[in-house]
Amino acid sequence: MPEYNNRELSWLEFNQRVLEQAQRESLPLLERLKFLAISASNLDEFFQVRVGSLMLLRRSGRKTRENSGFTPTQNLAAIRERVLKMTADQYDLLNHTLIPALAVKGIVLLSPQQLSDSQRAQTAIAFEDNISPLLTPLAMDENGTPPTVPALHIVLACRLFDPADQTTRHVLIPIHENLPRRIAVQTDGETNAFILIEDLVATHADRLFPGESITATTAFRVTRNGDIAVQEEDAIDLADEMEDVLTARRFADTVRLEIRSDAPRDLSRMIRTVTSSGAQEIYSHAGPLGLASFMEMAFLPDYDHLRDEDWPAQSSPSITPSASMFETIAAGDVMLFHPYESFDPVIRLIEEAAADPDVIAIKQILYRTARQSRIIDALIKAAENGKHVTVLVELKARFDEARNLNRADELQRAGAQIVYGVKNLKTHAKVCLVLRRESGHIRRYVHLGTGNYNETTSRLYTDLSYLTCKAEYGNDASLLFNAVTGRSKLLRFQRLIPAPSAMKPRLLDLIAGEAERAKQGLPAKIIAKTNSLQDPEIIAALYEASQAGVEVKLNVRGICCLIPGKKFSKNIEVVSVIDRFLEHARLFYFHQGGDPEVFIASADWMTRNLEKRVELMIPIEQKIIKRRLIRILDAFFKDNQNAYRILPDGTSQKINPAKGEKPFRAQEHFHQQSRRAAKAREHERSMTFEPHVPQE
Amino acid sequence: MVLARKKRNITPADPANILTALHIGASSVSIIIAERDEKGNLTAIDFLEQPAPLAQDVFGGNVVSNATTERIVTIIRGYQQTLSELGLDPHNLTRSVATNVLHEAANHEAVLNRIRIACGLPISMIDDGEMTRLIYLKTRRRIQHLPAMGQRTALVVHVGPGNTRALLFQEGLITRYTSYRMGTHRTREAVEASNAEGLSLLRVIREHASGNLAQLRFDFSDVSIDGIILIGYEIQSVASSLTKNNEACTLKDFRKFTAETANLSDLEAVKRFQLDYQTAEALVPSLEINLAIAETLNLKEVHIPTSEYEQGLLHDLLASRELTGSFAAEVLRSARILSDRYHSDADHGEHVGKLCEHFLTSLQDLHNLTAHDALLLQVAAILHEVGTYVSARAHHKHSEYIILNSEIFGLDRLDVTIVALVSRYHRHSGPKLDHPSYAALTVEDRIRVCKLAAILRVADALERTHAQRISKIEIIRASGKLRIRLPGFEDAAIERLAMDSKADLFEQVFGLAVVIEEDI
Repeated sequence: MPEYNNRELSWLEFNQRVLEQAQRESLPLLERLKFLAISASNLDEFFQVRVGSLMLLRRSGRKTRENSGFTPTQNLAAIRERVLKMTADQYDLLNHTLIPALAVKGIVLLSPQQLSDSQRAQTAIAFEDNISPLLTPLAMDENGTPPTVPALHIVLACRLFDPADQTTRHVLIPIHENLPRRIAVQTDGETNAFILIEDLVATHADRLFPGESITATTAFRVTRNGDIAVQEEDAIDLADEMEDVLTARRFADTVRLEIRSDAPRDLSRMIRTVTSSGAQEIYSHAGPLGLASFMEMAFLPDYDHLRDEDWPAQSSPSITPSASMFETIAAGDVMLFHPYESFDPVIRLIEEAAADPDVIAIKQILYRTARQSRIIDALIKAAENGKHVTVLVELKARFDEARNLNRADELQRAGAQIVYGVKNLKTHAKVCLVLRRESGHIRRYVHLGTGNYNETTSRLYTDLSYLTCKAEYGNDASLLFNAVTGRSKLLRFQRLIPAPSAMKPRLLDLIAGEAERAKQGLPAKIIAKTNSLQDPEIIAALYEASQAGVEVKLNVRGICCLIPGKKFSKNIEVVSVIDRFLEHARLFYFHQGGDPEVFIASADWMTRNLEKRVELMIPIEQKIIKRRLIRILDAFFKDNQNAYRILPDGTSQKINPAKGEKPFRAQEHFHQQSRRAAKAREHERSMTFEPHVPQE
Repeated sequence: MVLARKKRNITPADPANILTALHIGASSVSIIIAERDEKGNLTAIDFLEQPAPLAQDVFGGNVVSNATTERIVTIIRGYQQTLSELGLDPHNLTRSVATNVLHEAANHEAVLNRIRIACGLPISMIDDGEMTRLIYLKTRRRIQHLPAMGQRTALVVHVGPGNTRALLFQEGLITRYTSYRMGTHRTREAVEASNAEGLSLLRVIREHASGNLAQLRFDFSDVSIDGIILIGYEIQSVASSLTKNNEACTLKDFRKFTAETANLSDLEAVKRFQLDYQTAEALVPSLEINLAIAETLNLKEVHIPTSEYEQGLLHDLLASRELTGSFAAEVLRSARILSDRYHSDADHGEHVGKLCEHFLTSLQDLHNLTAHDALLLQVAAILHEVGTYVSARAHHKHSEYIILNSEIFGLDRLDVTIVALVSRYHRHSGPKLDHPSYAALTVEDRIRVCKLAAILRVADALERTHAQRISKIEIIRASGKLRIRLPGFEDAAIERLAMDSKADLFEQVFGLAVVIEEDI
């Protein structure tokens, strides 16, 4: 029986690496604050999804052990122990390092006690005018049903005293999500002072209860189970069903109760009752709750000196700005490495397709889109222009359902054919297909990627985009769309390798192929970059490959259930890179006796991706692109600035330059490289003039 | 509310370059949309396939259920939407056909009517002849490169949903063609009641097929087969699990694979081989029948093409027209082999055939027969005297039943019946309604028989001596007569005598009295 690391603890170790970025003194202050907020936001999602489903499992009485041998109860206990340590680190950093350091730089977080009389008066006006109309206090009825508080909102619990009848009562004031977390407070100097919304409400809440006085307050925040899935079998209309899920998620079981550690005992007890939280769900924090919302502060204007220097996306040398995307792709396949290279060409392809009279149809899968999505705007325009637009909107993209629903509705109104995903599977493949008539024939242009069609994340996540009009790739993309729109069964593809049908068997074959070569004494090597590695069969195959003598180099950002450095995995090296951009590209290399096979993919090496999702693995055949991808893969293993080595116990150790070794930071290297390439191309263009000639 | 779309102003691809073929198959409905380049080569633009349990219904209950019919309608409507997206007319397909399995459904006409009403598409059934032709095309176009085809004697076996067909290729040419009432879905439905599983299921299948297998062994007992190629929907869908790079699969491996597959549940087969349920259910019968055939013929290995069966079939449906010439040649070769088997006078048959061709060409406006009818006449000319093998007396009647009970490559049952009747009517009595096979035909087909037999009788009269004396003729039509001039020929007394007894049908059918004129 192969050994595996615990998935949840492995993920928590990843989050610890994110938190470590916040602890790095060499990083600019607001970047550190950003990483702290990211680590908190990650934890929120972790509790909603993972802890939520583990609690459901525990409640169902199942004792099934996961691959590392933990029962749900053991898992929850181990998670709690690890999270307590992590949150202690978070608050220690915030209270003792970041808040004081920010104050020195003029960003001052004031407590209610620190407000001067004039500031108190100023905030009172703000409270009256802008805040109190949005507050709806919930009274506690001692004998009735406790009020339901919304998830992930900060809620203020108050003790009120009525001097008239000498009675005490409790009320809850949920802070509306549309209210800003931070309220500016006027100062004499140039400092940027502010007070947190919950402190402001606590200070002025007595205005909401005339005749009563507030004798104590505290803030709390509940996290509920987000793992409420649509019962697809019963769903007549998935869109309606999804709205129900969104509502249910706000009021589902409590999986975590965060409360201030200085909360008065009676309030604390009342909150536990109201939220039905057991001792194991309570996390007391020595500071403000909901650190995820501190992210906004990291983007405060006028503090660029406290942030990293901007690395704007460069234009790829493969893209000619004056040529249409169709001309560019027809001239040769294009590979873009985001966010170093701009995502704009991908958007341009769809925008040009929407306006091009020769384009017949556009088909696209949307998983997570940006708030103001140019891509959806282009698709709407295309549908309005009479093109056949087919869009698969994955409503099951967790936490993005609401946005996806709204845009799906807009697309449908414009006349696009909308498919709400595939039954029982999440559609995670990133593919866009454009059918265009050229000289009486139909040509297919395809974009295949590792990241979502999301302009915002395309500036923050590292991803790969492959643009081609090779007939086999276009044909396979057509087959995929025929299958996901329910018009055809999933047929055998010529080039692309889809999950859940073919990707895992192919990966296992490729790994076994390397193992076989190693056994025969031939050179054998696997390099893979993935966000998570959890699938037991893939891990077992990698152990076998290691034992056969295959050199296995893995770059895994997050969960890694593979245990490196043991007897059965002595040839496996695992690194994790955490830097300013979120590592998101999936890229695999198999040596294949010196004629390497290189793939990009939308899927991680997790069972959910390989067996429960529609995903694509894309073989890259063009030699130049292949070589470039191999260089990208290699670079991560040279990183000695932002890389961590995963240790056999699942924890990680930062990699530092060896004696005499130069510092190397992979992301910086990619940025410099793309800048140099763009500059060289710009120079080349400036030397070549293109005259305007009369039209024939 | 969905707003109405703007009027589409997109120019589609040139429809003349786009060909479409729809196939309602035994277990799925598929469509190919292909583009033809300047050289006439076809490239698939799109191919869609959806499972539908047609064969299961037909072999299970003799009718296609309403649910299946409606499923087919829904699938076709989806395909029509795809056609619209490509700017094509969704009601005007190059070919729209249904498997001949449908013919066995009592309600096949109602099913085709329903599809026509719901989708606006007329569907024709692929007959046995076309099916054979498609197998031939597949062999010619796709599997000719298989190592087994290079061997001296290769057998191509197609286990279809209802029937199995075997084509014997010697030196690359078809020398024999046989078919058996044994198929994947037919067998599956027949053995289902046994509730057998695993190895016992294989035994039940083998027992069920034993009669056909014995016939097959007998049919090929006189030839030494060097290689066998197994084709079919189910077997090709698992070919990549059985063989790599089109290499041969040993019988030992094939046997092992079949036994392993028999032990899988349908769900496991669906998952392991990425099949739909319809195919998974017919997989074990397909494997066992194919294995039994290979074992019956004492072969050590089999070849299974790894190409996609269904897509190839649809491609061939579109491409078949361009290959008519070589196909006709194979039909005639098959007829000649049959003629040889019954020691018929080959020179006579060929010569009559030539004369028939002459009449057909010269009298096109008179008879309005098709190229396919012309092919049937050629076959009848080759075979009209095979009955002499039984007895010279009433040999025309012997010819009829020998032909009726023989397989002629590429001809369906109707074709064979027509050839048999035309051969029968080459002498003595003309067609009469108390001749059962003739009476069973439609009026149109009876007229075809009359026209073809009339021409054969005249040609046969001119070849009365079996000496190929008359090779040059001139045909003149004038004042109610068909004058046959024989340049350079002085005494045609024997032929005239023969014509007196045979030209009656020609006059009845075409209204022209036949007159022979020597070159005096």
